[in-house]
Amino acid sequence: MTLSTAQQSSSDLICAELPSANHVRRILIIDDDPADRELYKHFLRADKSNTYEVEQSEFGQRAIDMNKSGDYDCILLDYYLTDIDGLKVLESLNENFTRSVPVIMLTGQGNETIAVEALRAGATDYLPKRHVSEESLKRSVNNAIEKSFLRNAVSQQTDRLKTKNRELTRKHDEIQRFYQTVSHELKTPLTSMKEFVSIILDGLAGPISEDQREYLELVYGSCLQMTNDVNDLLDVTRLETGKYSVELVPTDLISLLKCVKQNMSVISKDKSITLTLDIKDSVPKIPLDEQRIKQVLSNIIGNAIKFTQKGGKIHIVIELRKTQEELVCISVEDNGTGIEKEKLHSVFERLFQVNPESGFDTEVTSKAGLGLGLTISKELINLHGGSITVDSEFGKGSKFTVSLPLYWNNTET
Amino acid sequence: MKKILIVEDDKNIAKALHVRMTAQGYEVATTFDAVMATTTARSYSPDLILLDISLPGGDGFVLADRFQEITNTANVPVIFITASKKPGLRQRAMEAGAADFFEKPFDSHQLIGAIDGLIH
Repeated sequence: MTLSTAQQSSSDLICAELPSANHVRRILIIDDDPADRELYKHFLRADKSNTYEVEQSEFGQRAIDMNKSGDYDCILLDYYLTDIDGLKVLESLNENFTRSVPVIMLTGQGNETIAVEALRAGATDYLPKRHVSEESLKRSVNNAIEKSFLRNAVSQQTDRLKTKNRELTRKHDEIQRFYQTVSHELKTPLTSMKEFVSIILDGLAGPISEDQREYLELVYGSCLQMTNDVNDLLDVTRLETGKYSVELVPTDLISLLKCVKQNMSVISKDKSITLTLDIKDSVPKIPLDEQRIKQVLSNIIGNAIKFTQKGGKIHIVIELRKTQEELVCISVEDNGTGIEKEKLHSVFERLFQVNPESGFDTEVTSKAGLGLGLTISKELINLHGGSITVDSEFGKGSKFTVSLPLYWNNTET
Repeated sequence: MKKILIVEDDKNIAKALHVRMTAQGYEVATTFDAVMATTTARSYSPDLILLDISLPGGDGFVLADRFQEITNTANVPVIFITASKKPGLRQRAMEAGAADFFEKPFDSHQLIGAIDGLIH
């Protein structure tokens, strides 16, 4: 979806017609008393600031029939009619016409009950017959027309917004489905690429030279990177559409963390980074989605490795903390590039990424991934009822802390 | 020699699995769709089945049920493989009696580890 269509749609919305000053107002008078009809007509014509075209009838049914063909600006409706009563006419007008015409109900003297009923049934105003004067009629008609105009404008606007909203939802769903298909389709060739490279690397297709091994290892690394990117893309679309769910099973968080640390130490060794784990408290089994928590911890430790220079240090601590609720906190602290203060608030935003070398870029520029990892991690931890926070000093290092509730009642979600 | 039946519609992945499993000392039969897999299962008597979940002509879960009904494959362990990341798929596979579950792209060393653990 482009910016231009978005702009166009917003201008589409401003098109309610304003009534012009010299607009001829078409009024329908329904009253069984011919003298009264003449009187109202006379009053209206006395209004010098507006022009009226008046039609009249003594039957309520006529109001309904005539409104079908006539585009009235206002209907003056007597409650007591010879054929059907005024309220029935009102109901019928409401049921059968989408564009509401303002109706002013003319009631008998002192009959407040009918007035209230009429307003409830959708009349814009009511006038006790004996109080109808040039002034009161003019004021009531003016107000009714203005009020009805505004109401119609609002309802038209609402309808347009609803249509737009439906259209956008449909487009959004379409894009999401497209992403899913793309990610799924990418994984199949990716799997065969990665598999054959790994087959050659394992020597199953005959001996390879050292150079060949080195280059194939690069290809293999790229395959792994691409796997992560494709998975991140899928996760983000899932999280955005709320289609992400976690499967919570009582899990031993410490052994999970040890396992992640073990896996990550393969990469940290390559950069001669010291990776240490400090288990301060014993942690009971807590309901977790093992795969997802592994994903989050690998992401955070992976980031720490990525943004720490050769020979640096990464320290992981797991401990219990008691604030308003009991928490288990895992913090990952590095002495790497760190994040500038003004950029710290946006690290969890989509596509945010710090350049591993300079620490300066906020847009994705390097080959280090899509910049979705922390966004996904944050959402995943939220789904577990926990939180991720970051603390960092530029040039000195960063500390990410994952806090998960020890006892979490997830029935509310 | 232990026998593995591969059911995988992508010919390249099927070939890679074939190469990998053969090198590991297994005898391998490869099939590319549900119909072919059912026919082969009847005659081949595999010791383990590697089963892709999305297949032309029927999904892997249905096929796994059918394997249960075929005498030769009734109690043979099934490892599901899928490129889908639909939530709950792993759980569904486990509930369907899967011996293991791998997402594509899988780690072939882990996959071999799982297979060796089951039938070596």
